[in-house]
Amino acid sequence: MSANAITVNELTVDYDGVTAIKDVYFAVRAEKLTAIVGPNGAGKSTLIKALLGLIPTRMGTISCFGTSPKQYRKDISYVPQRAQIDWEFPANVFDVVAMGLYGELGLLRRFSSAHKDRVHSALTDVDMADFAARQISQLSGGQQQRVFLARSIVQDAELILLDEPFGGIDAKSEAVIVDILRRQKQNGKSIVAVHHDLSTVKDYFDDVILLNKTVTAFGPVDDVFTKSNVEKTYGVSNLDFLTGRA
Amino acid sequence: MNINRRRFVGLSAAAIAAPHMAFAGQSLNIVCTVGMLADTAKQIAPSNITIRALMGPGTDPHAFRQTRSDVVALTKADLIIRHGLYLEAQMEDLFAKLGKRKSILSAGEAIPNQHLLPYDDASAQYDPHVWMDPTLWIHVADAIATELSSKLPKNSAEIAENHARFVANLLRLKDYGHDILASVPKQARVLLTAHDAFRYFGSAYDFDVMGVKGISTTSEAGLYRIEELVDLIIEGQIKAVFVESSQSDRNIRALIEGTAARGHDLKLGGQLFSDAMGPAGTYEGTYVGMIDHNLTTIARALGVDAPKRGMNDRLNV
Amino acid sequence: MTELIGYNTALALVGALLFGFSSGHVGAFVYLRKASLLSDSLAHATLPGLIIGFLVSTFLGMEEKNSWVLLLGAGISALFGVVVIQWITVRTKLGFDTAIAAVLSVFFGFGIVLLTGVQSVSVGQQAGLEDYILGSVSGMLLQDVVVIGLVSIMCSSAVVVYRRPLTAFIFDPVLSEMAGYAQHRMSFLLSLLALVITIIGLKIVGLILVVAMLTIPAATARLWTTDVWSMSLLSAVFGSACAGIGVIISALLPSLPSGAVIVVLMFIALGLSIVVTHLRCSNV
Repeated sequence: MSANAITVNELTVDYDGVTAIKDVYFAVRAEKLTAIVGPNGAGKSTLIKALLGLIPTRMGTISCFGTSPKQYRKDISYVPQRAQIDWEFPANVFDVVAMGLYGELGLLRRFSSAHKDRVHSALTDVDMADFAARQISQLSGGQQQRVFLARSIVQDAELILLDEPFGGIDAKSEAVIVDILRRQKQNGKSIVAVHHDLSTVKDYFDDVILLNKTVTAFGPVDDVFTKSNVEKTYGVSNLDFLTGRA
Repeated sequence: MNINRRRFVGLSAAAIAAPHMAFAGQSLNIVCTVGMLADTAKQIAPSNITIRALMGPGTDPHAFRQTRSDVVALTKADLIIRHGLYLEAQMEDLFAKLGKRKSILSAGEAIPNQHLLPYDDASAQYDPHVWMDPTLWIHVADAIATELSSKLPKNSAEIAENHARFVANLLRLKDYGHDILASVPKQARVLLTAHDAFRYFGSAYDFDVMGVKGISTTSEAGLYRIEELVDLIIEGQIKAVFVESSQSDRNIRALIEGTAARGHDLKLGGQLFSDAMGPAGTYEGTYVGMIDHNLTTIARALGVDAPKRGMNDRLNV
Repeated sequence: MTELIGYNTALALVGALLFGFSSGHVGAFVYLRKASLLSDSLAHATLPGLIIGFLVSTFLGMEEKNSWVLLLGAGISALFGVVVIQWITVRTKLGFDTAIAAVLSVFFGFGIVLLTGVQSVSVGQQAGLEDYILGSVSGMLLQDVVVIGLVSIMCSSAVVVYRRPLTAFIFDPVLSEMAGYAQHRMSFLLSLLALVITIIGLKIVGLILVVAMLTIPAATARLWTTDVWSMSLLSAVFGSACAGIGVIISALLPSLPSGAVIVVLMFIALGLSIVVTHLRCSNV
């Protein structure tokens, strides 16, 4: 893939009356696992919303695989924070994954057996095939996350954006999910995740973007994820940057 | 000190009582509730008296709720004439309070109880729609004339003359009604209207009366009642049904559709004035005009060749 | 009764069955969206528009109190209520709940003021506005049923056609946006459907009770189903059944307000469902 997955230049976005991010620039390499890291209030959610084209930007450009935001919508799949979802909604695992096909299906196209197979295949990819008929209210945190990943997989989008995918999940589930993401990378997908745990950035991700209203640094973790960059981003000194503790 | 205060109190009391005596020859501010009372008072009172009604044409007195300006008008009035018999159902509390310091005439209650129809079998209340029978309204005219004479003794001669003329009109109405309705055969002597406001008409002219809603208009008629009436209309081969100026015509139209579905041609006989008179400034906007209109409309709908323009040749057609 | 079902009852029954079906159908999505309180606010916001519509049709000299002008007025004032709620939520620090409560009470209060004022205007036939507040099935005419039926079918059809985007929108608004169904458009669609159901429900159950038609059958259906499609259909069936039985009961027994009977039936169905599904759970 010659084009970058995402290229952002001079991006400035206002939210709720304040400037949430200013003059943000970075490039996300294709077919890599990229983390977006920063303290609370850094503007990470605003950045995600802007990348998805959900909110207007004051200034700057965003391009995705060389095309404009509106055109690339079908090529991004978004995995929301688990807390934002109503898990009491009447749906089972199959239903949620099938929703990933709604963009393709439109209003009235029949949900055929070919579509069913795609859902099952995605569920197999995340090792949730046995849970297809389970109500989502009966899933654990890790299982919920895997269901959303299956939804992204069934969409077959080039770019997967995840919002804090490891929040509130036990270590075993975390390992399973990282494994799934790596496999998707090998399938040619580009993955960007808002990540909160500094201690696992180097292990899980290829690239990192350090954000606190502006971009402190971005690029491969080995080059960019240094003590001084992290301290600059978080505004503290004496940071054990591997664990995030001062 | 004590003596002065007593004298002061005594003088004040006299000053308060004085206006009652000072009315003689001056104007009087009268506020009535329903239009029929206001018109009656206007016919009887001397011409320099201001009389107004709180409820205009098309207003339902059963549901009427006073506004602040109504209360102000009532408190400023020298004489309040209300109907009573629970016609102004939402104003009972207000009149109970006002009655302690203002002069209130409950004109409807001047009618002796033996002439009144009970509300229903159970309660001790009476049906208030007494104006439908002109002979009963004579009692109301008498009461108003008496009250006016006592407040305006210098005008009693004029009042007596007006009163006599008005009562003569009421008697003419009574005779007119009997004349034009005489030829209606027994089985056709049925009056079906939007609500049960015509029972005094029924007893005066020997008619069966039915209303879609009951005596008070405030509750839903109910499907059961509609079906019941459709059956009764088919059974009795009732020809005409009437809408009222102060009621929605929806239920009546439902009756017409329902009977049409059974092959019966129920005609809309016209609009009657039930709880309120016609438009202000017209003949139908007076008591005599209102009753004249009702009698003429009912008779003509039932096939009688009554004069189109009514008893006084003044109806607007 | 000389016939099994009289004409008037049959008319009211058809209207109620169709309306009950579509209000249950739309209500399922309103319920899942957690917008039931919003529906109540809209219903109460119709009152000023009803009265202004009445005044307009009277002063334009329309022969009978033209009910469609009233309903148009009701729709406009409820739409205005939606706009105000949006404005308060977006532009001020007050929350969604506050906006709903404010619009409900202010609009309804203003309507009561107009109602009291209207009674002293010297025009005829203002009685009948109360029918829209508490509903009146007895005065149903053929033209009413035709309109109610057509609109109900349109609303249900819209729900069927848009079931996928509506489901996605309620569950994960970003997903629906990314799939090409903008959030504000889906939100507007749902609000519009709720508004239309409210307007045609005014004649049958009145503005105070119409929120029940959008809420209770949906809540009942939720207890029995585990997917949106079945839930919406079951909700439609419950709504239809209760409306139909309510009409039959008010035809069989005198002096029963039909709107209230329908709501009581729905409540009984809900109560029984809670008991039965609870027992089922404990036996598993």
